[in-house]
Amino acid sequence: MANKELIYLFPCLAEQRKKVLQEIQKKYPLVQVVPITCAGRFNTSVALKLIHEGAKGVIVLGCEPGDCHYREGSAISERRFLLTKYTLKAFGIEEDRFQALWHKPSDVKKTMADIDLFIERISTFDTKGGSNEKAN
Amino acid sequence: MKKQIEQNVQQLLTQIWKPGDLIIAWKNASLPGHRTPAFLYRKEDIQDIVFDSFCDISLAKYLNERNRQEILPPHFKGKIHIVCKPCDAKSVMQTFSDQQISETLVNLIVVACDGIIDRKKIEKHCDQSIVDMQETDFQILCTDISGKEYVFEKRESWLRKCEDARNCDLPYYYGYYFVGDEKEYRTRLKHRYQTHKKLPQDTMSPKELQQKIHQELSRCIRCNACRNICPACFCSDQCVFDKPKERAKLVENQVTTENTILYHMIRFHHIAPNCTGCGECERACPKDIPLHIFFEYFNRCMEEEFGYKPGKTNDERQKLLSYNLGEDLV
Ligand code: SF4
Ligand code: SF4
Ligand code: SF4
Repeated sequence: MANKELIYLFPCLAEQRKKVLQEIQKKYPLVQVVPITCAGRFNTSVALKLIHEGAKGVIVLGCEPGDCHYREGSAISERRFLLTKYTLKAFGIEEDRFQALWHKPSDVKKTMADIDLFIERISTFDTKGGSNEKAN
Repeated sequence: MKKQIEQNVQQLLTQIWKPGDLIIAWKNASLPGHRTPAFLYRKEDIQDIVFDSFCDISLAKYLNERNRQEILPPHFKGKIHIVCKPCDAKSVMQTFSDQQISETLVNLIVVACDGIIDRKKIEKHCDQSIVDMQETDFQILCTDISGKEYVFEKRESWLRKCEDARNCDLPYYYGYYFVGDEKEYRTRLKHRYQTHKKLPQDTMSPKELQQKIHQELSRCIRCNACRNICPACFCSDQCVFDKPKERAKLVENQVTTENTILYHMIRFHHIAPNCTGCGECERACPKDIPLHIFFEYFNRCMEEEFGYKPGKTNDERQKLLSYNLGEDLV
């Protein structure tokens, strides 16, 4: 289901991040943007599913724990995201394929720098993240 | 020795039982070496209770909301007396801290346990089906259908969890009855083997690990036994794997190895913060899939990274569900 080579980006407060998102899509047309309400509400099983089915990487873009509009949202999710990374590791998938970035919506420069870094890092990985047909 | 413990359990229950209460314990089953859950409402039935090295089923599962509704009669007002091994007591603690049942409803009776036999290990070594299985102090005696006799050392036929004495720790909880000598039990634990075994995640490269997982999980038939038996899984009615119509389908119904891997990935991801390492999932699996390579790994992660051991106490809120502003993140 997931499109190969695609990178999925889940930003919170997409309205306020319009500028960053436009810039990202111009630079990386393969990034698929799916707006969410709060990073704390992100269902990490979806990230596992996407990566397992072949997406190259998943980024969640949220506000710093503490700046979160829903107070604890991003703090709880930070723990959950750590667990997601361990889940990938437990199944032999590169944990770097999943990344949470915490930036203020107005901080275009820093966000772009981090996304550049992320895309550079995962570009060395195979297309397929999950244990795959090749495995047998 | 074992008989003594059995008698003590019965004696204790006779004392604390009141009309209208329910007792959850083990009783004999018709197959050799099997013990089955018993739900007792009458005083006369207390003498049917057994406890020996074959009581492998964890009864903690019956306390959570959904299962309770299935076993309790309508308008049940009494107390539930539940007999547990120390490792199952952790699952009960987890049930408390997940707020599945109130502590005031439950009388927890923890029995000094000295290792439980893994029937699958024994069956593997017998040529034909077993018709008789008995235990002595250190050995298991089996007879198969052709009359051939086998002798197994108990220590070598334990369940995997019994080999690591940390699984047998008693919970930090004020209100349980302990059957046996608690002091002696604690000293005995100190002399038992306590170490983390090496897991494939430590020794294999990611590619090899993927291959191994692929190989093992290709046998899985998605019977859901591992999910249904798990004492820590409690949202059975709204399980993500069950309601494909109302929500996005996370895992397709088709049983392919790819889907199976995703199924287990999501299941263990969900259960990791609650998993006490009780090993029930592996025991229930009809296909002998070594699920410990996942849950033992996650147990270790929770302990080392989050400093949190599921099932240690009755009121620790699950780490991934609660956060107080200003608290350290991990
Ligand atoms: S893990 Fe410990 S308490 Fe649990 S069955 Fe084995 S020996 Fe008994
Ligand atoms: S019990 Fe075993 S066969 Fe059944 S779903 Fe779980 S792992 Fe698969
Ligand atoms: S996942 Fe397995 S080991 Fe963990 S609590 Fe559930 S049944 Fe026990």
